[in-house]
Amino acid sequence: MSASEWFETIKYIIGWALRGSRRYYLAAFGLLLLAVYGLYLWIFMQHAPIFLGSDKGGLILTAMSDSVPWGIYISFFVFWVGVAAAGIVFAIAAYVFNDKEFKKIAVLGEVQAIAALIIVLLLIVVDMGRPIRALFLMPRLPNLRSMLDWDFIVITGYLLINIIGMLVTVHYYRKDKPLPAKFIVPFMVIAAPFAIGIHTVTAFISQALTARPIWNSPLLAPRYVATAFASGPALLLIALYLAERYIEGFKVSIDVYRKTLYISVIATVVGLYFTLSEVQEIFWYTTEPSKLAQAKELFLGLHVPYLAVLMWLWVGLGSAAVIASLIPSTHNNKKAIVAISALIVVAVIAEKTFTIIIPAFIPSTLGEVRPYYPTPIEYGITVGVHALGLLIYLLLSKPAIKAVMTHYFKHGHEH
Amino acid sequence: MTRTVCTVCFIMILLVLTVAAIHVAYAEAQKTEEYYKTIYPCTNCHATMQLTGDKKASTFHNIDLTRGAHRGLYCLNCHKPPFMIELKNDVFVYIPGYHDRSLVMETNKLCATCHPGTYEDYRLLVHGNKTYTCPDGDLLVVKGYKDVAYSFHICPNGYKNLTTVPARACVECHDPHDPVYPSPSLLPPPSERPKPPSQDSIAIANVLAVIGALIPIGFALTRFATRAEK
Amino acid sequence: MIVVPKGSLHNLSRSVDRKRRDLLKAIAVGASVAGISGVLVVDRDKLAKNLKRVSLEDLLRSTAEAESPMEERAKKKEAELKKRYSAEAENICREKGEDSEECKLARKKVELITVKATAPRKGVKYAMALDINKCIGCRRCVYACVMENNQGRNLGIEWIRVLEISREESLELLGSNWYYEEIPKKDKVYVPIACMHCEDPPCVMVCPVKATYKEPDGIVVIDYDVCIGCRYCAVACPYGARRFNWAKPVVPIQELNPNMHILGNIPRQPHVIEKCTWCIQRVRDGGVPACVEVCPVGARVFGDLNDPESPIRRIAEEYGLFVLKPETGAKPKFFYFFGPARTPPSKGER
Repeated sequence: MSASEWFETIKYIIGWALRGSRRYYLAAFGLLLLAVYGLYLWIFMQHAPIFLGSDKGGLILTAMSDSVPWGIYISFFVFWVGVAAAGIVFAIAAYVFNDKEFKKIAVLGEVQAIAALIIVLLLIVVDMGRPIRALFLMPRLPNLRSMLDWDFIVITGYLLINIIGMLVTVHYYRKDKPLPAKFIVPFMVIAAPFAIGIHTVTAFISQALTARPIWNSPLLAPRYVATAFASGPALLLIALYLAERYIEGFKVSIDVYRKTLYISVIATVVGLYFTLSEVQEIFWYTTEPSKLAQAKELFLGLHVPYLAVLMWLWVGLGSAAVIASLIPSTHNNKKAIVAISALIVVAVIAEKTFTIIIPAFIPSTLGEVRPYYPTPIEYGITVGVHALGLLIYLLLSKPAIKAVMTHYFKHGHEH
Repeated sequence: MTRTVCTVCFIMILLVLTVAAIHVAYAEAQKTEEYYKTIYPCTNCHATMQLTGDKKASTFHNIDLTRGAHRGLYCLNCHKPPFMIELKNDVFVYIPGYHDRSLVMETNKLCATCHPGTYEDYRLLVHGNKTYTCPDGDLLVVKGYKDVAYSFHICPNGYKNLTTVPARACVECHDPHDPVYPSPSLLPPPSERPKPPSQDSIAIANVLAVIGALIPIGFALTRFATRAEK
Repeated sequence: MIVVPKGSLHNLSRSVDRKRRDLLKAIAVGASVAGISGVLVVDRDKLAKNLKRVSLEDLLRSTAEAESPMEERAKKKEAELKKRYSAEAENICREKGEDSEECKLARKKVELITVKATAPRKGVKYAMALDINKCIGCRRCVYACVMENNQGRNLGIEWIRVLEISREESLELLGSNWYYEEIPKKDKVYVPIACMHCEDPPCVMVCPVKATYKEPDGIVVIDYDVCIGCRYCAVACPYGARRFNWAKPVVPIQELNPNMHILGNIPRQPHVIEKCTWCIQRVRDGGVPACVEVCPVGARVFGDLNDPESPIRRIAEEYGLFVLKPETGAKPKFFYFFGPARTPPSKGER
């Protein structure tokens, strides 16, 4: 196992990432366009006052205020941490339960985790006032009582683990060799706790804050993890479906779809159950007036109606997905499974973006109500970040699937 | 002719001398309690007053004890009849402006007979304008944020070793015959960060960018773009 | 092609030779001195190899530097600020004329700019208290604070918030009114809220880069050169005390407070967080915060908890100290108390 072979693997990944059909280039070009647009907006907004010496720009272009210090960026940050956490699901199914069908697609979960984590890190970067300073200072002056530092550690750690996992998988599969057990065992032992850890620590960022009563509940971390295991596998199924459709010769058994859907639906049920539990705790009788006020904002949308819309969308679509999955005929139809997955993804986006972050600030700690509606520049940057993440997903899944096909789908038929 | 000149000169010299004498006497008297009796002629009137002290109003100083927070009191609760110029607790009446600080502070004792707690608070706490000074310091009043004036301390010898100075006497701010101080004006309401400028152009650019990206992606997802991969 | 002038190489070698000769001479002299003195245990030349002579000036400078890196930074900041504001002053002078009042004032202000890094005094524990019965909600403290602490005028940053709360509502902040237009009302209390300088500050706990920390004298400060603008502290603060510079803050030279502390009211950069520092530039040198000085009713009390003679001790003994939102567990060092009750004057009574 020499270094040059690993170098070859990296060359293989880059080579296959840049090679493809016209359709592949078109999709990549579209995503790149959005990413460049987002980058331009970000430089204009955030760096004009600091580096370019301009009096224009600054975070003042966002709708965030001292009452609502975190907005759309952190909202989507929470969602994508969840998606990244669930990337490990396929690997667990493949290596712990030794399921051959799942082994074909375990690497796709890792790629999804990488892409999600890059979105996560970029969302933090665009949210920060001084990201370049942070780059130097966070390793130099770590505060181990700060959950943000721990989150940074676990997210970069998990990113590293997934990159290693993907590299190793591609490395062996491209030469038509199975993954060695001496890699799989330590990989799973390290990666599985990290997967749960990133989302748990992300929840810990907010859950221990006594200043924000609606977050200050030990149910927050389980809630995060539950919906993470609903949205992550659901998103993977959609990606898998697209891969099957657009890559010739890449076919996966419906068994994979069915089993993944079970995980996703069960997680959705648990998530809905947690929501019910929170509702009971807050509305039955709470002694904390500000918690009640924030919860009312969330469920009734007195000042920010979109919060209530999103919350009820989660309840409605989540229940709809669960009920749809109870119909037996859906289990034998890939399209139906993917449709349910899409429902779950939308439901979890509704539950896990604005509805998690924004109610904690409305009303604020001093009882002030300052509604938050993201400005166009915030939307633009968020879209740009997501485009970059999806582009990375696209570019990395290509060589990963190629390598898998070399090992499992030799000469166009299954091995 | 010379005689008149001489007379004028004499009168002028006399005048100057008188003024000088008054100045000296003024400076001397400032240090003593006798000052009130010699320069400030309160006693001239008060010596003939023969007031009984069980009254509540006086036309002379426009005093009306039937209203205000001290409406329960009579003159003799604080003043010593019949002349009223002396107060209880061996304190002298406060006259704005022309006297030693320590004398004024003495009048606080009288207030302390009825407001002992407040007096202790005053002595130990910061009441009113307890502030700091620096050697050779000065105050610079600037009208700034939202047109509210603020007095900056200007210390030419550096802002080190600041010392706090106590506030003034009770009666300097609170009229003893109507002690409730009028409440000061209300300053403008608070402000938050300014609203973000209109971003319609960015909104349009967003839509254009998304459409621009969706066209190639849409093409990629349709059957038109099919071409077998090598 | 490099043309080497004739003789230059020769000169070079000659100078090298001379150097070598000098060195040899020095060694010879040194050796002879060492030999003559005889008492030297170690050869001085050998010593010279390992030891280096240090000049006194360097020594003094380096020890001064070692005393406090913060002082050094403050000096640098002072020079920077003087440069920046003298440019602004020159602009004013050009516009309004050399003899104008504005020009003179601006120049004087630039001259007065001092950035201090006064360290905390030993054994001091500051605390502030506010008499809810006295406060009439006139907002003078808010504006004194803005002016004293060089808060960005364009960003509407105000460290102190004054809340009007109904007397019957047991100090519930939820329905509080910030934008009241008439004072003082009989059925209302006024509660100014700023940084509480908690004993166990959640903001310090959550800061990912230790940009905010608690000083030994109890003041929670922010190092503006370290803050990365993540706003986690603003999220964690139970008292809404933190303000973010959402853009480049502007403080005109006419309104600049020249008395600055590097951890306090030094003009901020864009995208850093800021909050009340109890006027660190004043209290560390023996003064009182601007809000205490400006309060027309003397509702605010500031002092050292460890000093038995301090005003805050009088409050603690006489009236007792109360904290806002005790359930957050942050243990604030900003207290509220209820002094002797007095009714605010109403129109009919006066």
